[in-house]
Amino acid sequence: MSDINMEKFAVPEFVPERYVKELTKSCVGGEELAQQKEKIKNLAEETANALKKNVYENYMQFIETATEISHLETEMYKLSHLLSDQRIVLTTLSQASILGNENTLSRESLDNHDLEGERAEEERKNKLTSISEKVESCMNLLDFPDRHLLHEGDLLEIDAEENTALQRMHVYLFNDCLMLTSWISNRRGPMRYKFQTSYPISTLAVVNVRDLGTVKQAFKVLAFPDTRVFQCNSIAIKKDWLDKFDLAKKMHIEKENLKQKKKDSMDKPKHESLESPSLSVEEIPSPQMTPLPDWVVDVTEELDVLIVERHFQKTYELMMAAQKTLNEEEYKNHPQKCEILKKIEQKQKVLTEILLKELDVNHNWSPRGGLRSSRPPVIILNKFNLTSQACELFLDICSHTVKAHVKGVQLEGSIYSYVKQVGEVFFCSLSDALTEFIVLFPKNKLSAFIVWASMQLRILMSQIIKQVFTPQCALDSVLECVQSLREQCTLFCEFGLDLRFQMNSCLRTPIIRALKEYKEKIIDSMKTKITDDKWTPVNMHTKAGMNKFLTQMENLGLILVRYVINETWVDLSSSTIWFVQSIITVQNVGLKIVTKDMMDVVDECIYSIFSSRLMYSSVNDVSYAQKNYKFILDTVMPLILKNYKQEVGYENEKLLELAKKYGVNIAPPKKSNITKYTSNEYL
Amino acid sequence: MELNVSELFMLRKIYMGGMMCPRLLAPGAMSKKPATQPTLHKVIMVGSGGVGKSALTLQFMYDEFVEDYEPTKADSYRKKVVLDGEEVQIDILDTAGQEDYAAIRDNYFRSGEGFLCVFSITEPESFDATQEFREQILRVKNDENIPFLLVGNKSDLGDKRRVPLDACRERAAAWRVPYVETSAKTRENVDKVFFDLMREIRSRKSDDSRATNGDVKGKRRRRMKCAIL
Ligand SMILES: Nc1nc2c(ncn2[C@@H]2O[C@H](COP(=O)(O)OP(=O)(O)OP(=O)(O)O)[C@@H](O)[C@H]2O)c(=O)[nH]1
Ligand SMILES: [Mg+2]
Repeated sequence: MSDINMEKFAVPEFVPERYVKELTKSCVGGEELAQQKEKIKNLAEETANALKKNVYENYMQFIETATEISHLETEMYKLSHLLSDQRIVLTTLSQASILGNENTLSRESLDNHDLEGERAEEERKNKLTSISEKVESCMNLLDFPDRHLLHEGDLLEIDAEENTALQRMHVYLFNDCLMLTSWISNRRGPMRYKFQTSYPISTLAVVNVRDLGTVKQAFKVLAFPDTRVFQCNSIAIKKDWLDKFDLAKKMHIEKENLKQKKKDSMDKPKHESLESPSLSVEEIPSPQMTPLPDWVVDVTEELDVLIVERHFQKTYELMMAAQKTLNEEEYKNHPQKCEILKKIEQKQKVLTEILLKELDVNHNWSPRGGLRSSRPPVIILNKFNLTSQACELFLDICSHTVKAHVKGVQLEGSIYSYVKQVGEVFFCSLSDALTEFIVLFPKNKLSAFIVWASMQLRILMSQIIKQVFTPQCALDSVLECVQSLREQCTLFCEFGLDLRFQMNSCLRTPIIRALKEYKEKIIDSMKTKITDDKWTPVNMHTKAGMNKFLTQMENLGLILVRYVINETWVDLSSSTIWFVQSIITVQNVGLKIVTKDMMDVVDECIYSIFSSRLMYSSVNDVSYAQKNYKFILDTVMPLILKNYKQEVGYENEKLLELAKKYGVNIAPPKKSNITKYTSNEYL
Repeated sequence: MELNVSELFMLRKIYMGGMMCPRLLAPGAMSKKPATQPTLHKVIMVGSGGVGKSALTLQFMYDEFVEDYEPTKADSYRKKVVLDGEEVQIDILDTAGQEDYAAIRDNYFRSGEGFLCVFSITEPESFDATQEFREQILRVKNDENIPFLLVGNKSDLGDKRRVPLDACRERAAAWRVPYVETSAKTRENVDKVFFDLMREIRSRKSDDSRATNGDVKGKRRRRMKCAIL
C-alpha cells in the first residue's frame, strides 16, 4: 500500500490519471479508497494553506516596500516644494534688490535650478497622465498646476450605517484632492478603474475609526454630505493613509498661510510707497495706472473659501465691495478689471445656485432649522433680484412645513378634537409663514402669499371634508367641526388675511349634500316609524331615565314636564318623540351650519320633513295618534317657527304657509301672539 | 532582499484571487444582507485640547481611565447600548481640541446629531472656548435646538477648580442646554452625559418625523402673543 506524501506529487513526470489508476488497483474495497481520498484532501488543504502563508508573507514585504517607496516619494516632493518656495523668495529678493550687478550672479544659479524644476515638472505631468490613462472618465488631473500624487492604493468601502462591505475601490490622494475610483470588473484595454468622485482637501475631514465592531482597520472621510468608510488590509496600510492625509492637510495649511503672509507683506510696502512716493526706487511700469488692492486681486479665492464655509452673507458683502472698488474711476482702464469682474459674476452664479438649493425642499433644505433658517439665503437672493424664485421656493418650504405639521396631528379621540387640532396647527403654520413672509419679501409679493394660502386652505379643506362629511358622522358633530374651523379662520383674520370666503366656498357643496342626505334619511324612515308605532305613551322605566330624557329635550328647546305621567311615563308616542328630535336637530344644525346663500336648502329640509309627517297623520284615526298629531301641530310647529325667527330675524314663510294649510292658528306676522302662545304653553 | 517585480504582481494576483475575494464574498459580508442595525445616534465630542474628551470617551467605551495625554486628531468609536429598554448604537466622534482649519472642522460637526461640549473646570480658557464652539456648531448645523450638553469635566479636581459653578450654570441657562459636571477619572456622570444626550437626539428624531403636538402648544402661546400685538 502506497503512502500518500508530497514527494510523489512533486516529481515532474506526475500524471494524475495514472496515479489514480494505481491507487484504485492497490486498494481493497470502497472504505479504503475513501480513506485514501480523505488523506489526499487533507494534503491538498495543507498545501493550499502553506501557499497562502507564503503569498501573504511575500505580499506583506511587497506592501512594505511599496510603502517605503511612496514615503520617499513624498519626502522628495516636500523637498522640491521647499526648494521652489526658496526660489520664489530668492526671486523676489533679487528683483527688489537695488544693487543691480549682484542680480546676474544669482540669476545664473537660479537658471540652473530652473532646469531641475522643469524635469520635476515633466515627471509630475507624466505621472498624472498615466493615472488618467488608467481611470475611465477621469477628472482633468492637469487642470491644477501644483497637483501631484501623494498616495494611492486599494481599499474596501464599507457601508457607513450597516457595517457591510460595499465595493472595492482604488483611491488616489493628491495634494489638493482625494479621488475615488472603483474597479472595473471585466476590463478590456488600458482602463482599470472608473472615476467616481473627488473631494477637495480643503474641507475633507478624516476620522480614524478606532472601534467599529467587527470592522477592523478602517478610516472615514467626511465630505458633506457624504460619509465614506474604508477598510484597509493591515494596520500598517491604515497608518500610512492617515499619515498621508495628515501630510496633505499640513501642506494645504502651509500653502494657505504662505498666501496669507504674502498678501500681508505685499500690502504693507504698497501703503508705505503710497505714503512716501519719493523714497521708492521701484519704477512703476505705467505711471497713470493705480495697481489693484491685493484683496481685490485675490477676491475669487476668498469667495471660494467663504462659500465653502457657508458664510453666505460675507460672501455677498465681499462680492459687492469688490465690484464697487473695481468700478471706481481710478481702475477704469485696468487690464485685470474685466477678468476679475467676470470671475465675480461666475462666483455669483455659484452662490445663487447654492442658495437656491438651500431653499429647495428637494435638495439641501433641512426641516430642522425651521422657517427662520431660510432667511439668510432669501435675503441675499432678493438682493440679486431673484425675489420671485426665492419667493416660490420659500412658499414651497412653507407648504412642506404646513403639510408636516398637519400630518403630525394624530386621529385620537373624537373627530371634533382632531379637526380642532388640525385647524389650530394649520392656521398657526399659516401665521408663522405670513409673519416670516412679511419680513422677507416686499409688499408687492403679498399677492403670491394670498394665492398660496388659499391653495393651502383648499388642500386642507378637501382632506378634512373627506374625513368629516361621512355617513358615520352625526350631523351635530359635523356642525361642531365646521364651527371650530370657522372660528380658527376668523381668528386668523387678525393677521390681516381673511380666508373665510374661501373656506365657506369649500364647505358649501358638502354641507348642502349633508343636509339633503339627512332630510332624505328622515323622510325614508318616517313611514316605518309611524306604521310601527303602537300609539301608547313611552315608558322610561326609571326616574333617572326620565330625567335624562327631559334634559335632552330641554336642550332642544322643549319643556315636557307636563307630559310626564306616573313619574316614568311620557305621554307621547315613540314616533312623535323621534320626529320632534329630528326636526329640531335639522333646524338647529341647519341654521348654524349654512351661510346666507344656502338658507333655501334649510327651509326646504324643514318644510319637507314637516309636511311628510303631517301627511301621514291625516290618514290615522287611532285617538292616541290624533292626540300626538295635535301635539305636533299645536306645540312643535309654533316652537319651530319661533326658534327660526329668533335665529335669523325673519319668518320661515314656507313653513308658515304649511301651518296655515293645516289650520294652525297663527295670525299673520303677530310676534306677540306667538310669544303669548308659547309662554302659556311652556312656562 | 531582491524581489522580481513581475513575480510580485503574480503573487499579488494569487493573493487577491485566493484569499481576499473569498473573504470579501463571505456570506455575512456581501451576498446576504444582514438584518438592519439598531438605530444609530451620532455624538460629537468638542472642546479645547486636554480637557478630557478622549478620557471621557474611553471611560464610557471601555471603563478605563487614561492618565497620559496624547492629543487626538479625530477618532471614532461605536458601541451597542441599551437606552431605556431599546437597543441602540452610539457613534462617538472624538475631535481634536486643536483643529487648525475651520472649514475641515465644519465637516466634522456636520456629521453629528448631538454634541458634548467639554471644558475643564480647572481651566478658565477652556470654558471661554466653549462659546466659540457653540457658535460654530449653531452655524454649521443651522439649528438653535440641536441636542447639546455643556460638560464641565475633571470634577474630581475640586480643590483646583477655577471656573465657578455659577458661571457654568449661567452659560448653560443662556444657551438653554443642560449643564453636567463629570470626571473621567472617577467615572462620575460619565454614563449620564452620553445617555442624556442620546435621549435628546432620540426625541429630536421622533419630533422630526411627526412634528409634535407639543409644538402646537408652543405655537398657540406664540400666536396669542401675536394677537395681542
Ligand atoms: N484628574 C482628571 N484628569 C483628567 C480627567 N479627564 C482627563 N484627564 C486628564 O487630562 C489629560 C487630557 O485628557 P484627554 O482626554 O486626552 O484630552 P482631550 O480633550 O482629548 O484633548 P485633545 O485630544 O488634545 O483635544 C489626560 O492626561 C487625562 O488623564 C478627569 O476627569 N480628571
Ligand atoms: Mg483627545
